[in-house]
Amino acid sequence: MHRIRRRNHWGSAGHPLAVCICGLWALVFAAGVCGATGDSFGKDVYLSGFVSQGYLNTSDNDFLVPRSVNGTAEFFDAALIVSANPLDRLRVGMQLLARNFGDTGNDRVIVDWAYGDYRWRDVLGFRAGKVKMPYGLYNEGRDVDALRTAVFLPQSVYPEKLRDFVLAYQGAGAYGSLELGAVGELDYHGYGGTLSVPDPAQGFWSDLYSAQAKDFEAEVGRQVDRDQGLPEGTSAATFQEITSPNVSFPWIWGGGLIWNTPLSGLRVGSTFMNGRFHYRSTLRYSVEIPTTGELNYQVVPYNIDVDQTQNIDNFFTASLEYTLDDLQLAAEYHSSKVGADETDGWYAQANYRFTDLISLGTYYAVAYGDKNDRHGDALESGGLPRYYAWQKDLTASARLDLKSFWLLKVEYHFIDGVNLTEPRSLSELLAEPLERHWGMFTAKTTFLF
Amino acid sequence: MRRRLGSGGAAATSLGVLLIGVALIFTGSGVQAASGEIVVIANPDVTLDDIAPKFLERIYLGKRTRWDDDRTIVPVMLKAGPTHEEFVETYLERSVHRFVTYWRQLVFTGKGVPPKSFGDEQALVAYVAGTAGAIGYVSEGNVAAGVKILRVR
Repeated sequence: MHRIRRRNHWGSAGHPLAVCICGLWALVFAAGVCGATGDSFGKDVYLSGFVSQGYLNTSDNDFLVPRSVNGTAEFFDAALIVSANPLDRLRVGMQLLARNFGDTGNDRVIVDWAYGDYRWRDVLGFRAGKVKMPYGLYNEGRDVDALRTAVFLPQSVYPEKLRDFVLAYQGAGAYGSLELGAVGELDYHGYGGTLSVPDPAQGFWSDLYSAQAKDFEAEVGRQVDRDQGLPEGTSAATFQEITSPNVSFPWIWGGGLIWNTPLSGLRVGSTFMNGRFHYRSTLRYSVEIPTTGELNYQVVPYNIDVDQTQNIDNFFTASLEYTLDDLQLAAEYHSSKVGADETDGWYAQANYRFTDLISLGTYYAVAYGDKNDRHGDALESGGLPRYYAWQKDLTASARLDLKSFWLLKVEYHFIDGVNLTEPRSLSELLAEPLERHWGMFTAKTTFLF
Repeated sequence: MRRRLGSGGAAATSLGVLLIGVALIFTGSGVQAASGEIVVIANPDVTLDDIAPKFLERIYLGKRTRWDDDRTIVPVMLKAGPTHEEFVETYLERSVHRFVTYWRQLVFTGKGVPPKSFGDEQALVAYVAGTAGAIGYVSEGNVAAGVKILRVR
């Protein structure tokens, strides 16, 4: 069976550049027209954006991007944000994003978010389109370096590998802010729809399923032996590639609550998301079968069609943040259950802005790949070291605000464990174990406008 | 943090130029020194005479967008300077840096845009005087005819 590899160049949620630009200028034009009609219409179009370039290098183990041990400058973001008020109570906006982060993005311009926002009352508004997802306290602003001291948000709660699909939902939501008098105020946001995956042929999904496909090589060989009536262990299968990958989320729903307490600077929040995940692809193997002819073996293709559906039963966070003048403290817990896999993690962080120029920050983040095997007992019984069960990350960050529009960050991560490293097959892990104690250096500069 | 365009004139700027020339866009603006107590002012069509500090905070954080009679609130602010700093720290109970970061988060997530800002207190007063539903703040010495003073209590 031969299939033509289908590259979804613009991604399932992306759009051709021409459409993006047309949309952008349509917004500008619409607001310009409205602006000329009178004071009852909003008049302003707001443009903002940023350009970032970073570098990262791990001492051992590949993390966040492939081949990070060699160091990489494939760490670039540029965003252009446009918003306008074409009508009273109605706001429309969109963000175009070009991103190159290892194997993901590759500088393609995508619509990162785009939505209309009808604010009927302050206690109830509606959003529809591709909307930033409430997930923890910082997911909605995760791409904006100016909002935090660290280069990377703690990976135990905000894993970079999942960024593309937790950033925004496609659908509709309701939101609002309710004054509670002496007990503070409550911000809320509930939604339903689907999630998008810009390019399932690249990055996390491809790496994950490729690693699993390699683990299936022995079983493919046994299957061919059975099909051909050969003794077990005769045929040898080698995984070649994934073709026609398709990742979809038929439906999701969720929401978030943030309680701004009467104590100024203290807020407490929680978010959750449920949904369904669907993966389809074809795994292509080549199988060597010994023969008795002139050639002593023949190579035959063997394909496996994957059609997998899993429930996302609970994607949950609990959050706490306290800000006092230039000090910010935060802690968050995250857990998720996707199919039979249950993971969790948490972090605690402190940031302090010493002067207009210098801010320093630190966090300690812990991630567990299996919340029922935090100490790695099951992994050890399978032949892997216990430290594959966790990743504990002590990070120190420095941020320099060189100008109001220009900032520079440097950061070092002291890491114990390898649970969040790039996906590898079991055979690769057994053959070449990862280092338990390792580090990551990263630097990034950002221009805002 | 943002660039404000008029009714289409500057809209001819291309995406490429915007992404490449960001460092050239932002420049500082002139500000005035405070001369006296901070006064909260509003357009005379605003029916309130007193305003609660919490109400004021919610307006400047973009959480309150309507007056009690359901008309649109149009908050304006100063770009920088001691009057601005004192207003933000006193009535919004946060540092200017935190206030800027708060609005950056809303801008970069499409949730809102910050209040229109002025580098000159007289210009702010003139805007409030001529804009229905507008509210702003200036130092006491810069209050002029055409606006009403709201007592914060």
